[in-house]
Amino acid sequence: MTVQSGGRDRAPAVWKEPLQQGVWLVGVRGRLDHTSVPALESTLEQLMVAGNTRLVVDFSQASYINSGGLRLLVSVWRRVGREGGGLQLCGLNSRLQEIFEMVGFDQLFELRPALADALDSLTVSSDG
Amino acid sequence: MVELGSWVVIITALVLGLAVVGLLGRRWVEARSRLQQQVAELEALSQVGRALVEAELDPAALYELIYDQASTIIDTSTFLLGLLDDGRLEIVVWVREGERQPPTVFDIGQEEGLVGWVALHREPLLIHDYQSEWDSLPARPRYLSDDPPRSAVFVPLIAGRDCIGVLAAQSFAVGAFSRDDVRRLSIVANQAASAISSARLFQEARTRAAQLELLSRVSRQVRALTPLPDLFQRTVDLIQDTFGHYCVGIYSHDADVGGIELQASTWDELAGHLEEAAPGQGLVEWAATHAETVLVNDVSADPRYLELSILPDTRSEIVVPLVIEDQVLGALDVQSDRLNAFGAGDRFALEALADQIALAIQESRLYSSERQQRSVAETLREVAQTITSSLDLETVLNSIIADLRRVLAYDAAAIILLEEARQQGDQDPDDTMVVRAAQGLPTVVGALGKRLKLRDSARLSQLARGTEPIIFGSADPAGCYHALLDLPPEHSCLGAPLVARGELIGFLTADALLPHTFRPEDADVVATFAGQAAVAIDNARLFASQREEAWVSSALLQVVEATSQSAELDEVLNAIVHMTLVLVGVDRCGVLLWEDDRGGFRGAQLAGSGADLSDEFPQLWIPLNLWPPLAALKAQPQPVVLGGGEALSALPDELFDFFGLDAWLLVLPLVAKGELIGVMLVSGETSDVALIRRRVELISGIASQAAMAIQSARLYSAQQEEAYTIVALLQVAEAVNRLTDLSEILTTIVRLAPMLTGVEQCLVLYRDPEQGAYVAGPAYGLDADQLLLLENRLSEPSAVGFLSGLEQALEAQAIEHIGAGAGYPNPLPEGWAGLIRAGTLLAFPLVTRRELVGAMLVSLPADGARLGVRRRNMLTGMAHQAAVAIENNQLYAEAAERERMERELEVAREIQSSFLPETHPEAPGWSVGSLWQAARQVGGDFYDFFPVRGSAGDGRWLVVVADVADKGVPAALYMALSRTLIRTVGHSRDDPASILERVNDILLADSRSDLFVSVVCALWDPQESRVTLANAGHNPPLCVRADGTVEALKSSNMVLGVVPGVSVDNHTIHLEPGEALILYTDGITDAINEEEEEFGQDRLEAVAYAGRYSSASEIVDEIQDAVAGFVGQAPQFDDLTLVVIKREGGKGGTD
Repeated sequence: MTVQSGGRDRAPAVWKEPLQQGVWLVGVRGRLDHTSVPALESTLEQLMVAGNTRLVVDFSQASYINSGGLRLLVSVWRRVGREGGGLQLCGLNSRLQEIFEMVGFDQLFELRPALADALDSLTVSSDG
Repeated sequence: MVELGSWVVIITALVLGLAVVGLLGRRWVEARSRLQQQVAELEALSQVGRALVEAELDPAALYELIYDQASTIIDTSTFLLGLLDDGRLEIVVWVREGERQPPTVFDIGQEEGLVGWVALHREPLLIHDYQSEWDSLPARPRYLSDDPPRSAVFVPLIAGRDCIGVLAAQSFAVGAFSRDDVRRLSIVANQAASAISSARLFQEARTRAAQLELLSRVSRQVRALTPLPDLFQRTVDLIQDTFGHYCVGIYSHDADVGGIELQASTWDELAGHLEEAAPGQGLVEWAATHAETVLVNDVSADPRYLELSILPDTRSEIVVPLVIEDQVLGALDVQSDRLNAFGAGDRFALEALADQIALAIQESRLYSSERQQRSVAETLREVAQTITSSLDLETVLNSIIADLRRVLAYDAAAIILLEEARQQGDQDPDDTMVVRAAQGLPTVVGALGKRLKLRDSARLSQLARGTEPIIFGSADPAGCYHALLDLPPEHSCLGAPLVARGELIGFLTADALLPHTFRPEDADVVATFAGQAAVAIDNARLFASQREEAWVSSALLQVVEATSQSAELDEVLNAIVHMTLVLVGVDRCGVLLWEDDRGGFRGAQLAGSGADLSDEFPQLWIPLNLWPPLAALKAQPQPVVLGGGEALSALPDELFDFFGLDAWLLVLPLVAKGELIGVMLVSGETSDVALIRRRVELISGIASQAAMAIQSARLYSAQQEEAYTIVALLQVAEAVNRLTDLSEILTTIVRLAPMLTGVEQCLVLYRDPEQGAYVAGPAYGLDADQLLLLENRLSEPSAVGFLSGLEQALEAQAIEHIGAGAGYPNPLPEGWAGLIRAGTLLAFPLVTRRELVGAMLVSLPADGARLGVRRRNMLTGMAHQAAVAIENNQLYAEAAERERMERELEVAREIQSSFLPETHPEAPGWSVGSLWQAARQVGGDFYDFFPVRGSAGDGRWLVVVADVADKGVPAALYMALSRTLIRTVGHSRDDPASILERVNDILLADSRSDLFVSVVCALWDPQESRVTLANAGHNPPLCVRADGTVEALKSSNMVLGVVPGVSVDNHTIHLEPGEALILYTDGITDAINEEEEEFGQDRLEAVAYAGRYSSASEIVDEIQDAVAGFVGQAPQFDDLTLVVIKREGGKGGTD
């Protein structure tokens, strides 16, 4: 099942998809800026309200993230951390990798090259 | 010379004369005695001659006289007087040895017998002795007997050049006659011949005169147009009177049928005996068949002769055919009891007579046919008179049948009309015919009104293919309309097609019980009659249809006039139903009007006998599918005629009350602009369905007029209502515009609604779009307690269920009211009955910007009257006004909020900008430039300069460029907090890294927000030309070197405010003359153009390189211009913050 939400004009910028063992994947497409951050925020908010705290945000189709987006990730990271879950980011391109490194978030988040890596990490940590 | 010659002749003559006189003198004596003898003889003969000349001209007496006179000069004891006629010898006087023998006739050939010889040689014959002279006789005697005469004398009777007979005297003595006897008898014979000849001439003249007299009398009869039977009888009587024949008769002959028929006879009993004759036999038949006179002088010798027991004495017979133009009309038959009774003269005379008779018959026939035609013409004129005197086709048809009897004898006759006239020859076997008029036999009259198809009648089909009448024989196909009758199979049948203007309109048929009744001339008469009858019927129909048309037009005009006098629907309907009664002559007329929203017909107006029911008619409600004919009419608007008890007993009860007892019911659609707007019901008590079928056209015309009138009345009414509605809504709109307070506006609306639309109560409910819950607003017709009660019940399931219908309607794109209670499928919400005074509750949605923001509830008066279009439109309009008021209120509130926020932002921006340094630090050989350009939304960028260790300082400056994540007031506050913390911490420290680490700790301790800030903090020592930079997650500063290279001073430290105990490192650079340090926020590099391309660090570096010889403030301007030029019309989302520190001099300075 793919549930989509997002801007009216463009292809859906954010989607979500349940993975194995209660892990949810949230995908982001294009520029994650003031127009798309609210959609991502609401998607993540819904998942967290419903008790889903093991989340993977897939950036493989994202090209940019602004400071608002970064702030949202921090916020989510803190919240799932409090609730015993985890937030994994995967698929960042070099531009995004650069941004994350610039603000030091490469030290904060575990940046996985691919979805499978993120998933392994989440499920292992859960088992652990 | 001449005289000398004459004298010679004279002398010669005298000499001769003297010689003759001498001779004569010598003979004179003997001559004198002979003369005396001759004189006596001559005297006797002259007496005979005188007697004969003076004799009567009667032949029989003349013959006796001749015998008597002959007896005076010779012995006539055995004597005969025979007359020759055409090879026959008729012995008119015959005496044998003194005894009279009966007259007799012999056939004698040429030179046959002694008589024949005498007649031929016209010489007397003297026979002294038969026996001695037997061998020298010039001819053989014909007559031989046992005791034959011995001597004889034969003398021919010479008249003119002809020998007409012979006188003969015979004796049983030898030499009984001398030559003198021969001479004397010859003289008598000459006298006798002359007398006989005269007598014969006289007789012939007399006969011719009699014949001429006869002819003239017959001609007179013919010219006098004596009826044929009389003419025939008189003619035969005249012939018999004139000639005294045994039997005279006239027969008619039918060339078509064959056979002869006695028309008149002198023998009265003859007719009864003719049956003895077999057809085709007898002389009359022969003459008629061969068109040739037949003369038989001895019937016993002619095999063609047919003896009739009643005419035993017939010996000879002459039959003359009656011929006109090669057509044998009959025969004139004359019979005689004598042999050889007819001669050439008789034949001539009878033939002349026959011509006259034939002429008479022909003329009589012509006359008769003319008279018949005159009779037909007379009849037709009377038919025409009948037609013009009557306008009813039935009367015309019956007159035709009745008048047909005047030209044709029939036992039964009928007029069968096709229901649809077609061009001759275009008939279809399925064409239907109706017996429209019939007279005669009861079964024929019983067939009146019956229908049959053309295919059912072979005879009528045959008639339809031609234009002429047909006399049907029993061998012709049966299956006439007689299938409807009861006629014997062998009856006579005559039919004629009725053709008018080239179209076959029907048939005229006549029947007779006896076979062969109708004759060809009847067909001719019927042909003429049928032609006239067809025209008559056609004219009658045309006249009737024109009259009907004229009447229909005038009737419709009356309807138009009546309906156009009023614009009110009720009056229009009233006029229509009453005029229909009067104009069409029906018993009841009602109109049902279609109600689209309820899908049924409602009674509108009824008129007619039993009018006491008309008050109940408007209560009539007929759902569409209650009665199939109405449903069918809705699908296909066609008039329907229902006739007879069964059809009407199937009426639903609702309609049965009004029309159920009638004989027929006509249902007509009322159609306006292609839409069925109602039906017209017309019924009658008498069962003349045929009449009503004819009137359907008129009633349809009225119905169509009615539909137009109803439609225009409705339009008028709708226009009036529209005008009223507009005025009412204008009042409401005026109130809405005049007032500003929402509650005041809605209070006005709920008060105006009952006044303008007549609803009992009106209440506005507000809806909370988030929760979907309703709360009560202004109300009219409910007191405070009721309002409270109602408000409490708004959240109960039944009320929620009812009101949710509004949302569903809105979702279905239909902004319509919903209803509950009487007239609607849903009941009132539970517990509302006491609050709603009437039986029906309606809710109108209040919609603003596609969102349901409330509802207007109204209750209808208790009488159950439905909400009309007008009131519905008005209430919808008022609900719209209420929604507009609510929307205005919302917009007003939102505008106020926006204004407040704008103001707040303005304040925040002012506060923010007040945090920024008002001046740049100044250091000799250095230039400093800065830019702070806030986006529309308040953001979190800031820059700062402050001297190290107090305001006096040691010339060193802390330069800060920071960017708080995200936008808005929280970011602005966080920025203020960060700036203050950096200033506070920086006041006592000169190590940028430790300043930032400390600020991070304090931020984390103080703030519970998720905000963070990236900061570049630089310790600038102008004197040492040294800058020490610490970067916490911020964009890398750019160092523009004197050689033109641009160096991005990258680091990878965590932003401040996220995790505790971050470690930040310092980075120190030296700036040579002409070199510059550029600090900026991501608002510069992340600025995007309309194609969503980022300005990017590379472009920034390029601009910096290009401006390497510019002053700090010039570099700021150039970067600003470059970004602005790059972004174009794309909106600015982020703050732009820029600080440039440049060491003057170097190459650029010297250039």
